[in-house]
Amino acid sequence: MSSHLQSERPSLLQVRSLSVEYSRAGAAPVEAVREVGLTIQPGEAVGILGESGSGKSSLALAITGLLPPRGRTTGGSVRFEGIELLGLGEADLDRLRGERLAMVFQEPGLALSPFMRVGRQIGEVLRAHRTVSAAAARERALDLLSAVRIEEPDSVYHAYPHQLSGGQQQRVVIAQALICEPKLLIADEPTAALDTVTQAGLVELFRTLRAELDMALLFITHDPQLLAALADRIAVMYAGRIVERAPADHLLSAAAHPYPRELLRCVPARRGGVGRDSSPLHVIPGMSPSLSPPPAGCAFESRCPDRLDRCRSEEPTEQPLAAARSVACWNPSEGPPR
Amino acid sequence: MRFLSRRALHGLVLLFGVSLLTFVLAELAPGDYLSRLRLDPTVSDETIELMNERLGLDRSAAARYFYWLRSVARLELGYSYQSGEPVAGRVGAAARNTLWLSGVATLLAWAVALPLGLWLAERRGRTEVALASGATSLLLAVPDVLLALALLLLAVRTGWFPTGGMVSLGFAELGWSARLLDLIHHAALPVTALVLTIVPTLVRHVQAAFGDVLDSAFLRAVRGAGIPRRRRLLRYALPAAANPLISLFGLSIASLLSAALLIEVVMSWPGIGPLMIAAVHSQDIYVVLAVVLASTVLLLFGNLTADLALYALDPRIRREGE
Repeated sequence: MSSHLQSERPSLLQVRSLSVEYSRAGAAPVEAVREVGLTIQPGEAVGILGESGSGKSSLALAITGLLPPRGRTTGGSVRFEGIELLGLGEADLDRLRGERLAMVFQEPGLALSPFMRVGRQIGEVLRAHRTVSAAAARERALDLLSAVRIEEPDSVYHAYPHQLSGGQQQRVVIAQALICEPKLLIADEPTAALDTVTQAGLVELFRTLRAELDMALLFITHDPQLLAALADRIAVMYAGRIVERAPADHLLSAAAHPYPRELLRCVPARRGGVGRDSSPLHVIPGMSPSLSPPPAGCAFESRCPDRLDRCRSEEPTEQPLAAARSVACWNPSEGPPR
Repeated sequence: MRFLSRRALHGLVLLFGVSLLTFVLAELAPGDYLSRLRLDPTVSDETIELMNERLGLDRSAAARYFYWLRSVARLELGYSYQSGEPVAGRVGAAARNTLWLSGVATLLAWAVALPLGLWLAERRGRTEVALASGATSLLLAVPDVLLALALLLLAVRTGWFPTGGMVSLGFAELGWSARLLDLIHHAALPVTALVLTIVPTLVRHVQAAFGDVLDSAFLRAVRGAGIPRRRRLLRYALPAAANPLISLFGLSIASLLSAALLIEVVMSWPGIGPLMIAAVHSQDIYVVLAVVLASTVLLLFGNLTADLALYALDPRIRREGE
């Protein structure tokens, strides 16, 4: 569906027209992801921007084969290093996950076992994928704890998760994800549960680690400011579809689709340094539509300030704008935001 | 350990309360041990008077309770009106038999329920799970007595199993391996009955506990890390699901014990069930007290085991206790 303007380098991850739906007892299924295409090159950092319910987490789960039992992919293809992941057996996926393809989730406290010492849990991932001695796994886990900038790795190694702060826990989870040096790290809102200072530290960590390890990153968030610091390219998701994709600086300074334009206006501006900004925060009116079934026209139509008549009846398809940019909108804007 | 001593104190207070309550309830029941003798025309009033005095029944209820407490301190647990002997020996032997029966049944029931529940939890939403839940519902709906009677009927019809008792005649002359076989042969039916009464509940809980864990963000993260299935289930899912299951273990001992009392009566297993029934019938009050006390001790022991297991397993609880 999306036209690929990249060069002929082999892609690391190639998602084509992927759809995900969740079944519900006694009701029509929810189409959470609708024909999404996404390509990631080796070493590239791609951001997915979207509000909760946009399907961004479902996309990540579908790629890694971790959808809950109610969810299933209804079409499309996910190729990772040339291997089709959809329909791959659980045992094969186990071999891949944590080794070539790693994931970090939102709640670090939920990702760790409360019954095992932290260092051991990091080493376990290595031992699940490589034949290494317990001593070597321990050595490597300690290295990783230093790599994720944990002070006193020795004492953290022997701690239980509940003895660590949220930021430390997330660093441990990242250490776990990176111990096999994956080619792609998918991070789903990894900082959403943490305070601002911790958040900034983690974003910095993601940035340096990506450079150090030459690893691709798929960073999923609702916060455009995080992507400004992290992503090479950004894809914006709304109601299960990608509505715009562009290089990060373009998207953040001059988005074409009205949804990211409105979304960026919701971020409180830091005007004039210290002092309270008295202007009211911007709010996008309305709610994202039900996806059971999805609306006939553009999903953003009811909330859109720039809607046309055809938006209600006809769903816009993704159109190329300029190099490496595309938008799914009948009335895209040009130039800087209002 | 402070945890243990606090637990032991709780237990003592509970035992005291239970004994007092049982005593009061037994006192409130009309008549006493001698009521039936009084109706017997061949027993003279003088004999009744003499017995009344000798058994201490002429004294006040409070005096008799305190007498009993002193006797508990001497580990005799009072004496039986019927035999005149201290109760401890008889109740002790019966409690051992009950412990044996319900201990084996507990182990077997969990050995069945854990893998079965895990297996079902992994296959949630499939046909075999619906079938299994139908079967467990059916088993749950059948009263324990009916189940025991059906098994007895089976034993009578086929002659494969003895229909009562714990050992055969001439048990004492057998070698140890033959004794063990004989014991197993006799225990087979009551143990089966007990396991069947409790397994459906256990399976349901195990299935629910594992189902919650398998669907959790935690297990999703463990899968995301690529930990292989076996290890995932045993090292990650099992401890995470164990918390409610260990509490259930304590509860399962309680329900197993009450089921055991019933099944012992139906299948004439010489445990504390039949002893209690007989004692209540003849208003042999100290025996009743001792039996209730023994089953409370067994119950407390079960709960203590569960608490200790919980304590040992979960570093978070361990920290609070320190």
